[in-house]
Amino acid sequence: MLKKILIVDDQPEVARLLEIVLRREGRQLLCAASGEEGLEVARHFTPDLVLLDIMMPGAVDGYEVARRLKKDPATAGAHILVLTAKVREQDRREAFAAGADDYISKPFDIIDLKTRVERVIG
Amino acid sequence: MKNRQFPPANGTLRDELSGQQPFSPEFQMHLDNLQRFRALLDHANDIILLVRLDSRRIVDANASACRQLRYPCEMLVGMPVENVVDFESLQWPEEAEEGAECWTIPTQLRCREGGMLPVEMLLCMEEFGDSPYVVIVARDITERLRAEEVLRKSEWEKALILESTQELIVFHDREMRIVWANRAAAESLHLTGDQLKGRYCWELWHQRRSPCNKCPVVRSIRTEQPHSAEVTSEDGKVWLIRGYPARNAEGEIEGAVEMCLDITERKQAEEALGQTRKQFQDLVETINDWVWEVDKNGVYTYTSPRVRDLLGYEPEEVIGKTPFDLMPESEAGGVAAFFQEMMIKKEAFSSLENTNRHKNGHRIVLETSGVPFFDENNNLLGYRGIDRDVTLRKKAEETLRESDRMKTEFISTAAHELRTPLTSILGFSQVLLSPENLSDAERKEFLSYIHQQARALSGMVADMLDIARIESGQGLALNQVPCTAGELVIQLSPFLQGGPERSRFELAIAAEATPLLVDKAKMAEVFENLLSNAVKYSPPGSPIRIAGEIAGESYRFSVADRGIGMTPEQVARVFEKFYRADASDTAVSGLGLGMSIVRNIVEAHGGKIWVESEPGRGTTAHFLLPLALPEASGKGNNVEENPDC
Repeated sequence: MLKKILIVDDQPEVARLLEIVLRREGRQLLCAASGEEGLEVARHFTPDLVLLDIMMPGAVDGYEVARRLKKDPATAGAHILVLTAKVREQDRREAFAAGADDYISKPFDIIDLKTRVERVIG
Repeated sequence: MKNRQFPPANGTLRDELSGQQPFSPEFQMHLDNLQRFRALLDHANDIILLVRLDSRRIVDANASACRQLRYPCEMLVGMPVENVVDFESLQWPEEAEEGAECWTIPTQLRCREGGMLPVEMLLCMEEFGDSPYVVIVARDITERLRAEEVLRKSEWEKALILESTQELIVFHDREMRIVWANRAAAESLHLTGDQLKGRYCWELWHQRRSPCNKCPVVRSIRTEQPHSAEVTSEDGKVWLIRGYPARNAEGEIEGAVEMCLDITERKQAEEALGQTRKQFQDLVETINDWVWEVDKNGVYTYTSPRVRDLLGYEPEEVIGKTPFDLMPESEAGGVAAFFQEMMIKKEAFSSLENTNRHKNGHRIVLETSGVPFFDENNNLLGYRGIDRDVTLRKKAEETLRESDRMKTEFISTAAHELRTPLTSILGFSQVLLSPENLSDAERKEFLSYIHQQARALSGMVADMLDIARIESGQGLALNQVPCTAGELVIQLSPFLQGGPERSRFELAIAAEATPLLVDKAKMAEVFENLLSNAVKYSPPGSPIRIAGEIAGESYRFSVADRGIGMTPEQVARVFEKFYRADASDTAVSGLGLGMSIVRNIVEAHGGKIWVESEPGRGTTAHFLLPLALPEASGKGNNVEENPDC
């Protein structure tokens, strides 16, 4: 079955980078440039994994996206991998508290990212 | 008249002769005279004895003799005189000597019981009829001797007192001649008391020919009142001299008593104490802190004049008040309770911060330190201490804390902002270096991302360096060249037309040929900052207007957006470093340095910048640049030398 990965990041070049790194046969990559958009796409496509940026413009930041995804039964099954430039310990804790399964700080190593993604969705 | 008492005892003769009537008038008169003479003898207080020179026997004695020597008259008459008068130490006159018929000697008489009676005895040789007699008249001097003894003792005590004192005591007569001087006075001149007599104090002590000016002794004689004065003698000694008028029993001035004390050491000690006091007073009143003392009830008993500067009160307004009277009610209770506790514990305290009310109403934060002080029995008398005005320090601390908080936030923001371009740079370069199959178009695309993000990174670093330079006081190094207003805007073309936002920009540049003198690169930085803020804080696609026109002696540029706008508070702080209008919206990137740098650049050009904004309506930033004077632009005055001009 086709694995679906949703990239939620307001910076287009970061989204593009993730797309290049993660593209592989048997995977469908979805992109959203804001929290609201990410939630909408997630409801439509029920991704297996959400790569989630934290700081995004608008009312819904990454933490909020994670909380809502976990709350909605339709998307609660999605794994959440937070990918952020916020690197303080309290940011980590807040990310896990909001429902993140893993946490990667920017800038990241692409091999490491690939490994972690594969560990989650195979 | 044979061997009888002579003259006979009172009444004896008359009794003997009674019955032989009548007497001749002459005899009767003689008899009366004899009786009168006998009465006189018997009534005399002195002892009177008549002794025969040859037999040394008492032949007559008066009533006083019998009474005082305690013999009946019959016993005394006929008794050897040696029984009564002690002649062991006394030569009995053998015969009457010419020219020495009476003499007086002090001696003692022996009474009947053996007691001795001190007397002053008069011996007189007399002849009655054929025989020589000795008349003894003795007066009891017991009382006189006792009085003399008392007087002698009293004199001795007085002398002892006067001679023992260190004070110089001199008695002067009315003409100021020295009558008597005590040992201290004499020794002060290395003379004896007798050598001082009749001299004048001014010649002896002061080597003068006349009394000293304002001499208290002279004055005391003149005014008949006591006087005192301090006199410094030739040798530098200081004397406290007192003069007391001396009156006799009639109340007339006999002279004056001078008492003179060497107070040199006391004066020196007083002077030293005075110096120390002055020293402390000077220090206390010079320091910027307020020095005070309160009693055990917390009432001010001393305050240094500095209270005027700190709280606006005169020292005399503060005396009698308590510290709590000078505090707002909300503060007074707590501080009073603390002070009460210190009083009980008798402990010192330091750096107690408390809020006080200045006389004119505003609040002053004081830092108070105090130490208790005690009497000799260790009872608490009060506290002494100092108050320091820390209002400004508190404000500075507040400012510092705020500035610290902003710096911390800046570092956190900067770290995040630097990570963003680094993510792309590191990520895409890793992709390019990986054995992945990439098309040429992809490689070019990735490289352009890397380049773009590296430029962004470089811009941030440049901003930080600019701020660091401004902060360190070096200022901005401008490279000013002549240029027109139009050219300034044209150089923005890559920015205005490069991005997806190009349709948003509206240009309205009047008088494009207006000559200016600017650092073109720095001005580009100004525009880019203002434009990127406009883009950042306004909805996608909303118009951003860049306008320019001559305004008096300046050229005014403005950048206006129709974005979220700012509150007046945000506008007021927009040029502060590290300030980001909407710090909560961390998604809006930026270091918070841009506007601060922009202002520095504009002001370095002699210009001025300000911002007008309204929440929800948008923001307009205006800045003025001075017009270049024609001659200045021609000669290159005020232009840093630069071959690229």
